[in-house]
Amino acid sequence: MPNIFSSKDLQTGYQRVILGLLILVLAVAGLTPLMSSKASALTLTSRKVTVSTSGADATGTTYSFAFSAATASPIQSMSFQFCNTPLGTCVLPGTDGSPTAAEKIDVSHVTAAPGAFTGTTGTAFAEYTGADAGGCDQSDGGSGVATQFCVTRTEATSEAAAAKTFVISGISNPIITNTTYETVYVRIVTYSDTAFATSVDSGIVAAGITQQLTVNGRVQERLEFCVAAIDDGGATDTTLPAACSAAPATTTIDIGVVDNVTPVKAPVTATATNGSNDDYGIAMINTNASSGVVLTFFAEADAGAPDTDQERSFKVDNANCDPVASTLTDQCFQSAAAGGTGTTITSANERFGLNIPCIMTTQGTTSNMGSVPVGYSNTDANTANDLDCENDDVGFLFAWNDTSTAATLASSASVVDDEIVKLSFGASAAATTPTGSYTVVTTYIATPTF
Amino acid sequence: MASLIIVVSLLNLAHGVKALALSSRSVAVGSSKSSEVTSHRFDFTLSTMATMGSIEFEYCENNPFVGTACSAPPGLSLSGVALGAQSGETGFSVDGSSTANKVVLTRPSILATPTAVSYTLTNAVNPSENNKTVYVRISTFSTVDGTGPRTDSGAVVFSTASGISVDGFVPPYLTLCVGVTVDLTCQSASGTQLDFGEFSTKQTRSLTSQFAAATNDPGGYSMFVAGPTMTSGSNIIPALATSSSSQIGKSQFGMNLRANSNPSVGSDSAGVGTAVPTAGFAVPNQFSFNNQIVALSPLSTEFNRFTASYIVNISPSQSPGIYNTTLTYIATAAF
Repeated sequence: MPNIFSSKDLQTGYQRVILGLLILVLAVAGLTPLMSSKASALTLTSRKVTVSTSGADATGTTYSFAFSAATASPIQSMSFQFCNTPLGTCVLPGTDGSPTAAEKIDVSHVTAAPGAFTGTTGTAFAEYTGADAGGCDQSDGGSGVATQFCVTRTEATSEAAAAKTFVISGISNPIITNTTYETVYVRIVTYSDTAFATSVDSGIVAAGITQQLTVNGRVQERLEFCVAAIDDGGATDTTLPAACSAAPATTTIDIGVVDNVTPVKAPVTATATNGSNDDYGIAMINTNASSGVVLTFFAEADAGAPDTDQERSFKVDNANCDPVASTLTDQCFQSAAAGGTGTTITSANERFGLNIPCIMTTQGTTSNMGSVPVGYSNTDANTANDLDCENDDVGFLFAWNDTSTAATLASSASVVDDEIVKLSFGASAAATTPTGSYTVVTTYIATPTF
Repeated sequence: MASLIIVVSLLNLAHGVKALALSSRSVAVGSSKSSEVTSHRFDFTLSTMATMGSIEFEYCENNPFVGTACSAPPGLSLSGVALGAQSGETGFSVDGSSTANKVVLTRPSILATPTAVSYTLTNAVNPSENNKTVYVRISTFSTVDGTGPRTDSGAVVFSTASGISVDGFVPPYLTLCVGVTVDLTCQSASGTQLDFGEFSTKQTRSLTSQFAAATNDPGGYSMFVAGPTMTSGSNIIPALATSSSSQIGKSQFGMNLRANSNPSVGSDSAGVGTAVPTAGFAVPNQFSFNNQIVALSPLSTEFNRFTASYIVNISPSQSPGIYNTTLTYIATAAF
């Protein structure tokens, strides 16, 4: 039985003309099955092949065939021939020239899915690996030019003229070299016998093998960090910025009159009595550093001071501080202890320090900042989100960093999305603390690790 | 094989770079203050075991993508940068090819192992803008001058920030309290009336009151006691104009600020302040009263509490009557 899609059997000019017309007509019709003058098979209808991937050179590809048999007949063998054209001499898809073995579509090791031929209760098909027989003359069992995948079974029961599916898996798609796509035409023929001798129906389906799109993108390292002094909004605080871009430019916190009677801290709500500006500090961080971020700070040295004594304390500008930090008669506040312990500020005991009432997490989506040293955590040791923590925190535990080395205030082990570290400052004068306007400038550093 | 690759963003594809990423990378700035001359410490872990002869630190304001165009952050200057500490892979120095926004560290090319390294650049001048994000692109090279293919690369980021200024005002203050008894720090004071009872020609009558004071006036304070001696109409008990001992049978009124044994009355001052009784009131068993300064501190002082001891003796000729006086304590500070 000749291959009904091959042109080698078209011997006469008349036949070539007729076939040419048929090719023209059927090609326009979308690969309606071609039938030579010798073919008696009817057309498989509603036929298609769905590939698991259209990627070139993809291995292990599954070709799922679906078609409707036109003829009620036993089907005991089928051939699937993979070609770069729907008609004529079958050349394996892969190149426009002479493909190398690696470039061809590889159907030599395909496997039919067990029981994949649906629509029948009969015996499952198995791959035919014998010598060339009938229409199966280009399988791997024959010439070595494996363009065909043939299957057989012994099942004399007539198949209904109805929808069928068949799955071939393990196909290696062709490589595309000179064009941007490759069309794989699969010529399907069903036979009523097991020797590929008597064709029943036939048809051609096509699969497009094409380029894949590679989409790349990159998220850049990001750090948005800002520091500001903001007005105390109280229990219904609406003053917090949504992001650093909305942070105010104000940077001065005035804690007003500091005396030896009552310690004060920012924000000082009693503005009417001590002249403060009711502000407190914030440090806002947004970073995608997966290893987290560390917030540190140090106090700037008083550049106008005659020496370096207590140059980073809360002091009067240019004042000459005593070398002994505990001296209470110079214009330099004694600082609270470092963050490891801190100092509880009480009346008449000269001290100045900083603490963190809480870390706000409502502006973003993370709650990762924490690990606040005890000296900066105030007496409640609680820095969890609290809208009015700057007023709710009643303790007076503060700490300070008198060195030029930045001290850690808080940190995270992961990304941080617009978390706000609130900063409060507290002070108390001693009876002998000299009168004057005291000030200190603090610098904050956010160090993310990517 | 033909393959269409759509590059959505600019990647490290320039020059066909296949550099691996530096991991655990960070930059810790000595100060985030704008225009500050400070240090920048870079920590990262090398990914590739390969020959390394140079490391490039390129500072950009536009993006962290190695191999793409870089816009130098305004005000940034690395021209004076020196290499401070280095660890991990060492032997580097600043290469002459460094620019205002790029530092190249160089050494003879030798094999580097994937390890944690750290380099501190000193004398870097931060960008001049506050809240400025600066990307630092880090690349390693097998060459000694930061040219050729990159071996490993990665970016870190830091931001300048405005500092926070905290201001406060300590006012001048002079704290004074007076009473029969007072707390050392003037937290409380009680009593304003003293009663000697009946004077005697055979026994000294004595009483005490207290006062406490503190000031932050660098010049300290002076405590002045003002008032007449004890009188009853036109009759008086003479005040001791000069420091004198108590003499029974002789009309006299005086005071001091010490613990006395004759008569046994009073106590010495308490507190860590620097105020002391003045002459005339500072010697035990010696009393006087002359509308004068009774205590002072020459400099700012913490609280001192003084106990004032008053004595009265009368002579047999002292006219009968109810004698009294009102004493006013006045503390003054100059500021």
